[in-house]
Amino acid sequence: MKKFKKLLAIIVCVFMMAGTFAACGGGEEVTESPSPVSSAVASEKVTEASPAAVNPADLKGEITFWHFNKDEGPAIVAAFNKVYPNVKVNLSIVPDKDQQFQNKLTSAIRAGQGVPDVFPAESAFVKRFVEMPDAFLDLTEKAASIKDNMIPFTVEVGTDSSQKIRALSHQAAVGAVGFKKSVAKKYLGTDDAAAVAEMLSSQDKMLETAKKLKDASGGKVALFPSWEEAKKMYLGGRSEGWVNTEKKLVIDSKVDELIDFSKTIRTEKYELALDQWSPGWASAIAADEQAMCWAIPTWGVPWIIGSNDKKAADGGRWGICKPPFTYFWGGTWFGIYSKTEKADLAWEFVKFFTTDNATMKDWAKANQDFPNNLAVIKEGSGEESKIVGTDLFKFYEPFVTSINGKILTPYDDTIERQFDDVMKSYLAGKVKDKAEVLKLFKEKVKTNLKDITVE
Amino acid sequence: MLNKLRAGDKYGQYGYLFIAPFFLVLAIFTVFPMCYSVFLSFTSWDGGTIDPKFVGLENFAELIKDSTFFQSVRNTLVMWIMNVVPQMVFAIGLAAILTDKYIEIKGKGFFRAIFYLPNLVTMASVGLLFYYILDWNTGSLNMLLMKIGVLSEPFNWLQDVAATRISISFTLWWMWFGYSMLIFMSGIKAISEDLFEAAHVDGANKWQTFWKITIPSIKGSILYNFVTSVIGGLTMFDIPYVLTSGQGAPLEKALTIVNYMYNMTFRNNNFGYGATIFVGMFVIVLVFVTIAYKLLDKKND
Repeated sequence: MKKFKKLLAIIVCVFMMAGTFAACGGGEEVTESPSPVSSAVASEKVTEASPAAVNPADLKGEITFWHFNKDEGPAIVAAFNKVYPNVKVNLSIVPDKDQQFQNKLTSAIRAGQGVPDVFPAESAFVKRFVEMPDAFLDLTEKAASIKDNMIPFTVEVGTDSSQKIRALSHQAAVGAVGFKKSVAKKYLGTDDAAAVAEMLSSQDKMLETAKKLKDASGGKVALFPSWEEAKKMYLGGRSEGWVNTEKKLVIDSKVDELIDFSKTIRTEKYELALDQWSPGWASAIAADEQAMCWAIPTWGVPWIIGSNDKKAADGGRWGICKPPFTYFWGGTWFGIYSKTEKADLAWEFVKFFTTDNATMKDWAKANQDFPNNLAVIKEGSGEESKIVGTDLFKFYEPFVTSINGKILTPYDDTIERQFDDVMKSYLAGKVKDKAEVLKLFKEKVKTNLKDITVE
Repeated sequence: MLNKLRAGDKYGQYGYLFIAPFFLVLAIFTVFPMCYSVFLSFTSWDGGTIDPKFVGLENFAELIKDSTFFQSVRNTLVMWIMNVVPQMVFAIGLAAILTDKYIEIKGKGFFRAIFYLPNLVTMASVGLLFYYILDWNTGSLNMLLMKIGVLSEPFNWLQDVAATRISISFTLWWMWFGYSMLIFMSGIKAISEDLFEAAHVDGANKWQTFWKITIPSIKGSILYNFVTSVIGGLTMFDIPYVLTSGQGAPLEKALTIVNYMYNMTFRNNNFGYGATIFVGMFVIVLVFVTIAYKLLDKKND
């Protein structure tokens, strides 16, 4: 306790001192600020988060931070320490294999002991922690002035059911469609991204394009490698999530459309019937003429296309275009433990890598990531992607704000597994029709989620 | 004599100290979790920060009318029988052949090692290996069958109930027959050579020797194998989990009891009901094991 008071005193002193310095320095440093210290100060100006900006080098202390990713965790700490050299971040990597990270974290929160000051949550389970009592600190006030510079869906994901912001993200896994340029050019007559996007802009157009592609290639090339590519987009295009506020299962019209669309593309052989992530699916990415379109989120450019198609980085092979329905796929959110004694220091840490313009731009470039920062996105990345040959920041900018983040619920993982199971049987011809699909799906949801009303 | 020695022994109590670590570990990692699971089965808990709420027998009322649970019990039993019967038959047969000194087979040791090999590989890797072999679109099994003209178009093995169950049983059989074989071999080796020699001299053929001498003499091994496979079979998890995308696909027809419990607890975050499934499974295993032990006892009489 004594130690804590001492620390608090230091922090307060640092805040006050830094306040005066920043007040002097702020005015003249907007344009010419090459050093990381002043760039942080500059970003304070942009975001106007705290009334008294802190000189990062003066900030001292120690916080604990857990991450489930052994690459991202240390990279974040390294970026932070470059600007805040005197804040010690004790990082622990706890992989989430078999929900290890989630379980360890939940036990710690329950016991109220050994909880890290800052911890992340992935899109698959972020809602669980956002809604979990005692987990994340309410950041609504703190984030009030910075959230407008973030992509709205990322804020929606980090917001709980009582409209309190609990977690923020440094990245935005915006979804798009990656397509094989040679195939598009050869069989559809164009490889222009806007033209391809137009050909995929609705269900009817997708079917039309798929037919054209199949006929022109003599059945050699399918529109999608798997129905699951379409699933990502259709589910992203829903207006309501799987479960509504009354805890009732919702079958959105897009889900309904997806069931029919998937069946059609399977029977018409407009998809290759491969499982997402299967070896066959991966090799289709590298193959020249098997399928044309993949659901590609921001991270998918390097990690779906780049890592599977070794020739992709030479350029010219892949294009990227706007999806028929905007969606996001993945992402990591960060929040502060609700009962931490170091909330201010932890906030500096979270705020730093979710708002600092220069850091976020560098981070995105170094990690082929996409920053959750509208100002940085607007500027553009300043370079063309080697794989898809376009400035990705500029490419995503027009539609990032139309993504719906409200459709994420804590039950998605379970519900989508039931949906996949029924759909795979349906597509294999083992379930007779759509009515049966919906009946089986509802039964399965009912069995697996006892607190959800299924009608 | 021994009692006399012990009477003045002041150190006997230290024995408890020596066995304490084992019991401590057992208590912490086995007894406590089991008791805690039983406790949880009477509660409603999402594994989160709100404490478990006592709900009495509500979960059990749900369990006895839970068709998915009974489906999983049926699946498990079917797949266990489909695996354990061929496994036993094969293992005994191979054990008899490999231990028979009147049969000349070159490299008996080599075969013994080869048959045991699958057992050394991690279950999950074996599951994944078979998953890829059975993949209907790109798997090697369909490619082979199509190449030799058995199939004209790929067959979706893992979407067919019978094929999925057979695949799981087959995989388990492939993994475990070598292990059973070793146990039977040691059982056969323990039979006095004289018996086989006497049979040989008396002109008994292989078949008669096998039924009249080998089988009756290794009844103990057979029962041991049976009992361990009851427990192993009813708690099967890894292979079905990997082969069915963790879902017991297609449509829960290959969902095992443990898989259902795992999904309910760790994927659906319903710790209360997951524990109830555990208790249900515990009762079933208990019944089967009791029957198996009764059989063992009978043999000892």
